[in-house]
Amino acid sequence: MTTPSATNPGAVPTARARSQSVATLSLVASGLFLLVVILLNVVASRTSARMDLTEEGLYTLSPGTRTLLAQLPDPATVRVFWGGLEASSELVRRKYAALLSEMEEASGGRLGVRWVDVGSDAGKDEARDAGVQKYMFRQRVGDKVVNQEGYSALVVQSGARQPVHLEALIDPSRERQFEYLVASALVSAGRRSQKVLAVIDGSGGGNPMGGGGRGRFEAFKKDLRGEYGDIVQTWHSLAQPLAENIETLLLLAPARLTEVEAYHLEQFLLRGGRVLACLDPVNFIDYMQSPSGEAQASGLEAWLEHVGVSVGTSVAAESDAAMHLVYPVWTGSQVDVSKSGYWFKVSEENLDTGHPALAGMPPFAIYWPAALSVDAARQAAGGRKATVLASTTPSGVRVGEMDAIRRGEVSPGLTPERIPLALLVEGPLESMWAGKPVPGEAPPPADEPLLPGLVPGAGSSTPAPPAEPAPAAPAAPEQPAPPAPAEPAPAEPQGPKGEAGEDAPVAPPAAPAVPAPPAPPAGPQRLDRGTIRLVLLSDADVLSDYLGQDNGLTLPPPFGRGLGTGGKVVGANLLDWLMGDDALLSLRTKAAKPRVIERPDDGTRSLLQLLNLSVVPLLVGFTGLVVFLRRRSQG
Amino acid sequence: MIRVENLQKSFVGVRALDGVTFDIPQGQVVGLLGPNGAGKTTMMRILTGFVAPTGGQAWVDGIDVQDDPVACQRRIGYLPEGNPLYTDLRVREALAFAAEMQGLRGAAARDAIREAVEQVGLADVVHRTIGTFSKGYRQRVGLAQALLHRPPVLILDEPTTGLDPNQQQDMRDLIRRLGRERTVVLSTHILPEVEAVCQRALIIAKGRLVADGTIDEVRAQGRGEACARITVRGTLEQARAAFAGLPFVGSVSAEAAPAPGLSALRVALAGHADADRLEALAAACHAARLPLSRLEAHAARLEDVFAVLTEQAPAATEEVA
Amino acid sequence: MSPQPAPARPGCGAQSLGVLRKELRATLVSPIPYILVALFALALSYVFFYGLDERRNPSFWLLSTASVNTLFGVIPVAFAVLVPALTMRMWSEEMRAGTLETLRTMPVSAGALVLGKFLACWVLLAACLLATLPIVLTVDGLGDLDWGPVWGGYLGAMFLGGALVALGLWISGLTRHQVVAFLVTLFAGLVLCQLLTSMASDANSGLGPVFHAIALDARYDALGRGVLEVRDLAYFASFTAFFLYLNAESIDSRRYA
Repeated sequence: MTTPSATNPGAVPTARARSQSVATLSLVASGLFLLVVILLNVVASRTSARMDLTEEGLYTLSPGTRTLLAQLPDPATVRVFWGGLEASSELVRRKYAALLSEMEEASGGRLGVRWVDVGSDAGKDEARDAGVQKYMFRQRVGDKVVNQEGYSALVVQSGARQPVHLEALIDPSRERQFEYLVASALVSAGRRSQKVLAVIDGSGGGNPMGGGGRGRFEAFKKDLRGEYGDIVQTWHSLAQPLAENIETLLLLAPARLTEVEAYHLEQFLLRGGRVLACLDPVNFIDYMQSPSGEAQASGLEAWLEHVGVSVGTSVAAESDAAMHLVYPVWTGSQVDVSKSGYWFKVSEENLDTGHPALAGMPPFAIYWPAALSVDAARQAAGGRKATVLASTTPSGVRVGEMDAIRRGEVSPGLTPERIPLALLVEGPLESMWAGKPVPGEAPPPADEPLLPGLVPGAGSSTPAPPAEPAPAAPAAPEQPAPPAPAEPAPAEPQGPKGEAGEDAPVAPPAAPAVPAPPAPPAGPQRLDRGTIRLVLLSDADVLSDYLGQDNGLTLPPPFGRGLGTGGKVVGANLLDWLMGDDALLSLRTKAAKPRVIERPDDGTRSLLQLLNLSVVPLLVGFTGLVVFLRRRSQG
Repeated sequence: MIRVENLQKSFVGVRALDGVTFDIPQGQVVGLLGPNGAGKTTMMRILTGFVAPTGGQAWVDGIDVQDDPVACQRRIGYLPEGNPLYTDLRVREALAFAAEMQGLRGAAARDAIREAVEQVGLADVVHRTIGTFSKGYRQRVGLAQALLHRPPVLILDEPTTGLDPNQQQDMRDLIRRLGRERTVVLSTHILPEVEAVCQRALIIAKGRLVADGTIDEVRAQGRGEACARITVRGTLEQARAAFAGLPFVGSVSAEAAPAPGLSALRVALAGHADADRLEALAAACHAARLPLSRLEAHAARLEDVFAVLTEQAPAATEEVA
Repeated sequence: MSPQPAPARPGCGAQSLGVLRKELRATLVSPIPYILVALFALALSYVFFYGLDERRNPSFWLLSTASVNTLFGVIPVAFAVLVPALTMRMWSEEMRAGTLETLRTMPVSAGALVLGKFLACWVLLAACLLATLPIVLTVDGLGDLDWGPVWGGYLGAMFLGGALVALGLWISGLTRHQVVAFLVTLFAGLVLCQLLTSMASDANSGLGPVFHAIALDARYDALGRGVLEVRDLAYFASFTAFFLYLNAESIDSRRYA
């Protein structure tokens, strides 16, 4: 028999204390655990141990970069201006930081990386002083979307030379190319010679004479300036002879060049200039704007014929459906993809991968290319060699019918053949105008520099003052030379078309109006023969903003990414090779590996889709049913 | 084998156990009795480590349950109240799981399962899903699970609830058999079960131990619950008046009258219903001129003891659901 | 059968495996896992082959690229919905059916139980991921798929799933109502896998970087790009460990209720 109340005193407080202490202990332990977890993460966030799983080693320095870094000519510094961006930029920043510190290590002390704190006023000042552009983006603030400014640039400086800027690094397209971009910036920042790379943009981009505004190759030109810095100069016409200090010329989409222009091109080649000419018989933009766009003559046909390459009026197409690539088709608000023989793949087996510029080159796309053919006899007679760098498969066809081209159909019954898409022509050449008068040219005024704007620093980063072109005048060393052919044709309406980099404010078109044309044209000595090096690419579209890369125009990905950028790499690599710069060739191809699928026909596509949608769910459901029934039958 | 000292458990605002102390030697079969909500289940949950006491201590085989619950749990086979089971599993699967939890593996596990299954008579249905079983079979599964690791202590919370009389009988036989070699604590509110199976009874009411001992001892503890059944020709009031002078007479209540004019009375007696007291009753009737037609002595029944003890328990706290 | 000295103290690992087996058995006899895996595979193939919208989630055919990024891109949200369905019953059901008592009176530590249940959910998640393998194989058949990011994506998905499972188990251990457990876990998962990143991109909040560091999908994205970084793995692992610990703690503390 118990006397319950007697046992109580003292016990209850103990009990309470006990359960309380257990609760406290549990809370304290959880708190400690949380603390440890936070500390661990803080520590871990400072480590950069990682493993790159990508096949190309996109997040690991490639041997090419390592070599380049180990052989930096001068100590270089990289200043990174990064901040004020969306929080998600952190992922990108981490990648970049990891790669940059890897580069720092690989350079053996030749490269220093400094992150500028752009949050501070000093950092902002430094960014302004360095001429770093702010990165503009739109961001949600509360329920509004507002424009924001941040920094996502870096500045590479090598020795006392002009620094090279890389801007807008937060752009998704740049993330995968980061290693290459930095490497190329290092190369251009450390480049000692100031050989000028001239770009003549037939699409009229930034041309104050030709309508101005955007051409079709702005992004590519911008990339070139990013890579080569100020040595890249843009002109829009060959109406004047090319300046002496120009060594390499990129001729983009030449259209209806005059004989004078052809003559200047030839003269440039004969004096040892190298040319990459990207023909563009039918272009994407004209097609998009008016589907009746005709195949366009470049104006170089006759001269090319003379060299031994003929460009017909037809377009090369692939009749082998396996090579066809997809492109988007809009039907109302719907986007779908289609494919045709005019947007096709140039695969490895049809590339001269023995050529340094094309070694390791992944397949790339080409669009409405000119149908070239080589006149072997003429070549041989001139002692030249024409190498086919790229071609169609043996089932390539020449389509001359514009209607078929526009409809995206390859007319049946054409003879299949391997059609060259890129040619390298090397060897001696006798001028087409040898022994003839120089084609009509207007002697420009004597005090007029032939090619104004060859002002160092007129590139992308530092806007050149508009009215400054004259003083440098590096173009005409032997200015007083008499005009070879005194044929004062009426002043070409084009006038002096040279204009430095498209970023330069539009120069007042007053120059041609300068009335006094008495001085002789300060052309270089006329050459009747020489050894040329010319690369012909039968298509320029693949370098264009639309097809070449992400361009803010939000084209669906087949054009924005994948194979689309391949053409750009081909162009850049060929230019590099022509300029005798090969540090970057292999780096570029690394970033360019396309992963485009073999697109099956609609039937296969539906089947694959159906199988994927149904097989697993059905299989799993069936298994479940079997388990259920077995379970039930056994009780 | 099981020792409990001043065990206390409070839930929010409620005291479920309020200082319980007892000691169960090895090999005893003990019935834990008490009305619903008295704290039986809480007691068993503390012993099995499912619930921690807020005060006091409990030992199983000399090990403090609080200090090393796992060691205690390995010595205990437990059939929880309501016999919760994984109804989706087959008998074999459920037992295999239990065996794994007990650290039995391979052949040892197979042997243990076979033995347990034979012991409770489930051998024919090991492949059936527990969910398809009747209450009786489920109870066997629960028991098999508790027996699996051959524990020296069995704690069974209401093992016969919800079973039909035959099943109850089977279960009792089984428990008796198991109790030969084990220490068993079983809770119940069916008193005959305790009388049939247990050597000792612990009665809990409102969180307190109100009786502890062999069945006879508990009976003795229920003071005065012996009674006499008397049939007299007269009224209840007359009878009460007649017995008023007797010190050992407790309450006098009427039972169903056998015939008109007669009153059947139940007279509670303090202590034992011995001959002296019966004679005194008879004398009192005679003195009051109440013709006596029947006089029977009744020893105290456990139910009465239970009723008395549990009523008596001081209402220290609210009951717990 | 006579009482015998108890066998050697059971090992925690073996017991966890036992719990894992039991959970899998109990789960696999119910239709739930089959429905979940089938729906998961169906939803992901649909999104992959048909796309959600042309800009951010275009269809595979429109992309025409041998990449399964869109597939892995929808996994955080898919998991945020799937995981609660897996974890909701894990503890709530034990409490409702009373089997928690059976479980907790067996000689098993709460930690071993938690671990076993975690592994069971994780295995089911792996099965869900396995169900997406045909998609990956289809892509590989049609083009030159880089398997590095694919493995990275799967690994990241397992880590992400593990973190969500740990969270879901903890929540399930706090309530006996499955529906409550499901809804709370769903909400928490969506916050961690979706909301935080969009909140982080709101320039108004100075907590952006913190949100971004906490958000699970941001960490997962980092893995899905094909680079395994120690910090992301450490985050997932510590997140998981923390909630498993809380879970064990909460299950254990029920004794003191």
